[in-house]
Amino acid sequence: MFNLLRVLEQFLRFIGCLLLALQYGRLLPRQMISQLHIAGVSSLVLICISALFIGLVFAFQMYIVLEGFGSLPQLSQVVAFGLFRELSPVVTGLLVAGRVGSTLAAELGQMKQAEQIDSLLMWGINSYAYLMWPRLLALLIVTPILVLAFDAISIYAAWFYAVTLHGMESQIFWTPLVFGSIYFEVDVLYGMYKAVFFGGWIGVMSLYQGAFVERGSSGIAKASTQAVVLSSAGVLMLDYVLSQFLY
Amino acid sequence: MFKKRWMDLSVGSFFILGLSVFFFLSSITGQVSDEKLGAYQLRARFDDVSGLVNRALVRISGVTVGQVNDIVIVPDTYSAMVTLTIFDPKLKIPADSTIGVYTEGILGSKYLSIMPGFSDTFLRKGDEILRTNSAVVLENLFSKLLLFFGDK
Amino acid sequence: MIAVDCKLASVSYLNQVILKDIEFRLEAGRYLGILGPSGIGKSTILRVISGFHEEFEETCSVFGNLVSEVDLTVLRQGMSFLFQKSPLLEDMSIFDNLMLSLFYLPGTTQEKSDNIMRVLVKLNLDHVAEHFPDQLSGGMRRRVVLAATVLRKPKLLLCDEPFTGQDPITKASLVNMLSELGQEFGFAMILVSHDVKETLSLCHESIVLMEKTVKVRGGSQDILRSDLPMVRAFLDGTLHV
Repeated sequence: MFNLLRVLEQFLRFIGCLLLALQYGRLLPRQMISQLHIAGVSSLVLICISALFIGLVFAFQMYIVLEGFGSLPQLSQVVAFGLFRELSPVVTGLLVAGRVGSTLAAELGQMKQAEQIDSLLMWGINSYAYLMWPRLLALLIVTPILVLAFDAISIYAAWFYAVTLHGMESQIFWTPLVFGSIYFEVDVLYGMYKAVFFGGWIGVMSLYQGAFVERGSSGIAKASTQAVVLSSAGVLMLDYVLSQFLY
Repeated sequence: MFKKRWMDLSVGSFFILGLSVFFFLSSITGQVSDEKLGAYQLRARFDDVSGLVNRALVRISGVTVGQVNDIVIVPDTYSAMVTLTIFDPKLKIPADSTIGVYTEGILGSKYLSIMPGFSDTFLRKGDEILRTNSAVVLENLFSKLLLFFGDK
Repeated sequence: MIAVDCKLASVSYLNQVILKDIEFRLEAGRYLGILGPSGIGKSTILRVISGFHEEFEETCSVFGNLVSEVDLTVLRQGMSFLFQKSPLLEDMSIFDNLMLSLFYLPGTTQEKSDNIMRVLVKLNLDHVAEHFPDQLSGGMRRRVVLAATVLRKPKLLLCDEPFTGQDPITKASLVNMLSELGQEFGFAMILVSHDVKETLSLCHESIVLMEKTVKVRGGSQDILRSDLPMVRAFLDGTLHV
């Protein structure tokens, strides 16, 4: 119990430092670009592959169900409805947590252990402003874009399944999306809003784990595992909470 | 420096890709305001729309051409006023068309079906379709049948 | 002028005393070596001086400012710390890293960038200015870090195990570089190491830490002539702990 309180206090202090660091922050474009690269470009392939297969599986299952009711033309609508709002932000969040969260925690932990953070302090440089914020900001920017990529790839995967593999007419596949009950402002954008929160959560959790890493290489292993666990669990919890607010 | 340029390039294309996907998605999905698509709305008055819900489909010859937007009660006649959207602005509907509430299968969901008339004048935005067939309610049908057989 | 005046009755780590009765004084422009087997807490002394480690008793002052009282940014402004590992950020080029190290020092961007190029040329590193840290060899990275440390024109340089993991040639060139740079910039230095030969040849005065406290102190001759069995064993490299 006492331990829990201490961790909580440490975490709140971390958040405080993070907010205080805002006043020192000057964005260094080079650093920002490389962080965007690490968070975004390098996760893109993973996101696309997952989106492809999740889209295919979803289309495959819905195809069977809808065929039974003779409602095949509604396929794209069902797939989009299931994916855009919930599955795509959540799966993207989980993948980013695994892909970027662990990297961040390990990187920061490594920096902490190698006294890099202290060296920066010797230069008078606040590590929250120059190490944490660029990474956090990169995640905030990149996650919604990854969600968009996920949406597009998964709907194309469903299209591939229905049209290319099962000979549905392409027109019939696309029309219900425009004229049905899938709305861009609602379904696609809500997914993106969620993604911003997920990105922030993953960033804060992973950086926190990295910044308070324990000694030794087991400390780094522990930090990156914790980062993934906390961020993935958090993504699922946040998803529920946000869903309550967004509808 | 090669590494630097490669990184700039990939991050740049990442954003361009993101932007184009954004517009792609906005073009393949519907908008809350269908204005830009030129969709237009019609109205129809029914005695009974039991089972019809918002977003139910509107069909002509079995092809989906629109959806139900709104169902309200008309205070003085107690009939149901249905507002529906026809998606395609080029699809003209004759003024003497008939619209009815039908059921998908025996127990399926309700939808509206328009049987086009032969008039040369066409309905415009906000017009009312005057000829309507109300929903067939199974209970009413049964009670009529019972009365019919009861008389014998 | 006195650069560092240390009177540490005890230094503890996690409530355990690891060092006691450490006393030394360093004149400006002089080099002090701190020798001792690894893990004894040599680096902790540097961390006390630079204000990272606060668990100590009695006083430590740097250029007349008490470490425990003065504002840390002020304390660190005239100080450079050469850590064991490289502080270079992997996502910035060498030049940008060096720019960052000067960020909070006065001067225009142009001045700073001229300064950086001058020091890079001096250390024979001007061709890697636009490289990233992970494209450099270990020895080069070491030199870049050294460049970053002297660029700040420190009055006091703290070196934590600069020779660890270097081959003999690099060690020798590091010794040369440190003494040359010292002559040019005139900083005082505290060097923590367990490489006896290099430390003694570089520093004007050294102390040997063993069993939590100072065993021998003096110039390189005094240290080498010491006849304490433990110190002898350490100097000869036959100490087994």
